Amino acid sequence: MKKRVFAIFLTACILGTMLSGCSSGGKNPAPEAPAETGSSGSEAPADEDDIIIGALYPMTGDLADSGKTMQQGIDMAVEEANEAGGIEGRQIKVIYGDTQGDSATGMSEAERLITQENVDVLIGCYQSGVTLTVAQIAEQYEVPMITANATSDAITGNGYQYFFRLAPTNMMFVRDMIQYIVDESESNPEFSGNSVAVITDNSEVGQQTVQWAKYWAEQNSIQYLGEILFTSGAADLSSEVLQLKSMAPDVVIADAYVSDAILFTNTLSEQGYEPSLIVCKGNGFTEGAYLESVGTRADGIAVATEFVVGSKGVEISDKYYSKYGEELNGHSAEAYTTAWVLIDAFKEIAGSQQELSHSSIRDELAKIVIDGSFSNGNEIILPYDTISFDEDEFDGAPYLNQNLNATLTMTQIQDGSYVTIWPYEIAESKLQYPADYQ
Amino acid sequence: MDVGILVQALVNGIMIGGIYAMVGMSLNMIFGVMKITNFCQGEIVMVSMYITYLLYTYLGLDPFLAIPLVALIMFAFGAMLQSLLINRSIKEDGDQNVLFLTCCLGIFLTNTALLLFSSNYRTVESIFSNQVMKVFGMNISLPRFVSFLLLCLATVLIFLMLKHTKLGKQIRATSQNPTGAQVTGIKTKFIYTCTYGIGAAIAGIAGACLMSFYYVYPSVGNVYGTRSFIVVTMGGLGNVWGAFSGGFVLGILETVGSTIVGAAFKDTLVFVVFILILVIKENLNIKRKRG
Repeated sequence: MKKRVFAIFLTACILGTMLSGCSSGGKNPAPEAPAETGSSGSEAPADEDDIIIGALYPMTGDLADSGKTMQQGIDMAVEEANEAGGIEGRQIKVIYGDTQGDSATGMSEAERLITQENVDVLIGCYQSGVTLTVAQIAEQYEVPMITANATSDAITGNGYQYFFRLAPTNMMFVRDMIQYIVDESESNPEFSGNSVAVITDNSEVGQQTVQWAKYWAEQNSIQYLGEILFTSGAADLSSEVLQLKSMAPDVVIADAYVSDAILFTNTLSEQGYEPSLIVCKGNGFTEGAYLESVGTRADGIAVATEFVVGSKGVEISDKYYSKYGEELNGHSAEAYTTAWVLIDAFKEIAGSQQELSHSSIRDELAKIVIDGSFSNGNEIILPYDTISFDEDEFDGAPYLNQNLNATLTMTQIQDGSYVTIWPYEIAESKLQYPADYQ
Repeated sequence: MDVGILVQALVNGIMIGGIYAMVGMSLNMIFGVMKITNFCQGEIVMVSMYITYLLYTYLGLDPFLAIPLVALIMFAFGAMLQSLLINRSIKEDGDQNVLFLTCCLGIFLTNTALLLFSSNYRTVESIFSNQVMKVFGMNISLPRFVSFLLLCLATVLIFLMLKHTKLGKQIRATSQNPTGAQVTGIKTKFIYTCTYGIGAAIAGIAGACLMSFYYVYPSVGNVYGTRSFIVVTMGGLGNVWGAFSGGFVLGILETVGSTIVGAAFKDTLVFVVFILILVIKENLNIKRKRG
């Protein structure tokens, strides 16, 4: 008897693991509270006729929180399109793959989506490192792929014909961040922006942030004091902060995923270091969990972001908030927009009586121009008004199929919310300087 | 190099080292007695962090005040794991069973946490949160300092327990010779259950302390699990004092070392020293054996 009870217990354990395993890595949306799931109707089995988007994001691991944000953005867009009748009667279905934030897993998940789920197009991934490997797979199988968030310049610099990017690259991010420092120095006599130092993780994105910060600082005659690199998922950042303190730059440039961003902000106050201004690359500093965890300690930190609530598309951000209980942020807004770009591409293809195939989607994305609003009348909620994927070259670095129209908004965290401070035409408030962190 | 910064780094290293030491000790306790490598130690820390979080959210308990309760719950949790699962899978010939079991338990716990709590980062406010002491121009974070004191206290208590109580003596006897212990009438399976419970409780104390200044998410165990393995191998598997000092060595290496060689080489430095320690220790062992 005892043995039997034990056997039942063990079976339950195994089943539990399997269930949790597949809901996080498999086809269902992320394992959230019931109210939040089932949004895209992706639980229903795939219909022969469905248009399938394969989406690759970290759904487990320490970046799962960010992965979930982007998933919600995509789900909302797809749901809107499906409710409005889909693409000439065909429904769109999103199948998720879990990269676990890891390149190797991302690669095998991409192959699974392409070969077994027969996806029409891939969207993802969050991290640049993972996106780069997955883009190789997509190129190899000739499946079009688009990223909403990955910012590494290298991905659109490889000449990949099937890869597209909506997000501004690191070069563009840092360009706008340094431009802000320059503009503020000119217009604000109290502000001092003569030297910068960078703190970031030692991932590919981090290295590029360093590279471009050096480049843009030199271009604008700002002294570049050096960089501090740490390993993502850090247990402790105290020595990093101490080093930064001893560099004493006028402005600190920071780039980190959300867990490190929280730790960094807390360590600043622990080590008693209050830089006059920290300018952060959106990334972890715009995630909902960030402000929740650090509270007022983040007050005064400036964040370059792809989206500010209240700036554009208020209806859409309100809808998002009531649906998921958190504010639309740069990541989810980009994921939402990217999904709409795909939807419009599908519509365009269907409208011109072409067959929807990997190559027709690729060709359509290469020539698509979205000006002001999407086919359902919703405006582009990101800070710019045109989306197109173009080719260009900058300082020896080539760009192909990159949305070069992308620009950023500079915000500052004031009293617990992100307030636009730059470009000055749309600024809601002036810079609080020096930052007070309380 | 500014001396002030080095001293500050040293202090930071001791503070973070305390946590590493604690997690390392909990792992070593289990290894020392049962000779099984517990691959889910990081996840057990994660569970205790979530328990602290729940106690804070629902009962408003400060993480430091919650320590006794968390330790108790974790003891029960650990004892349950041991008696229900691990005891039953220990075999005479080799420990693959337990190896796989603890590995899978880790994955199971992470995914269960993901189901129950989603992937959000969660933090807890304690009365000491975000307070900083200034001593001789150094900044010492109060929650870290209090954690450090508590960890020292817990270590002393564990030692006294092992040295002087009946249970402690039985644990040591079982660790030295399980068959002999069994012959003298010690219920070794029961001792195993207690040991795993104590191991989990120590991890629980570390987890509750961590919550006062870190955050919890389902895979937070990786951050501390990997380090705890470095700590115990540096200090010697099964050697509780070794784990204690190993924790501090790791902490100080990370902070002071990275202040000297640059933060980018922090991990490189840690692992180079780790390899050196392993090689030197092995050589010393061989010499000692040769007499």
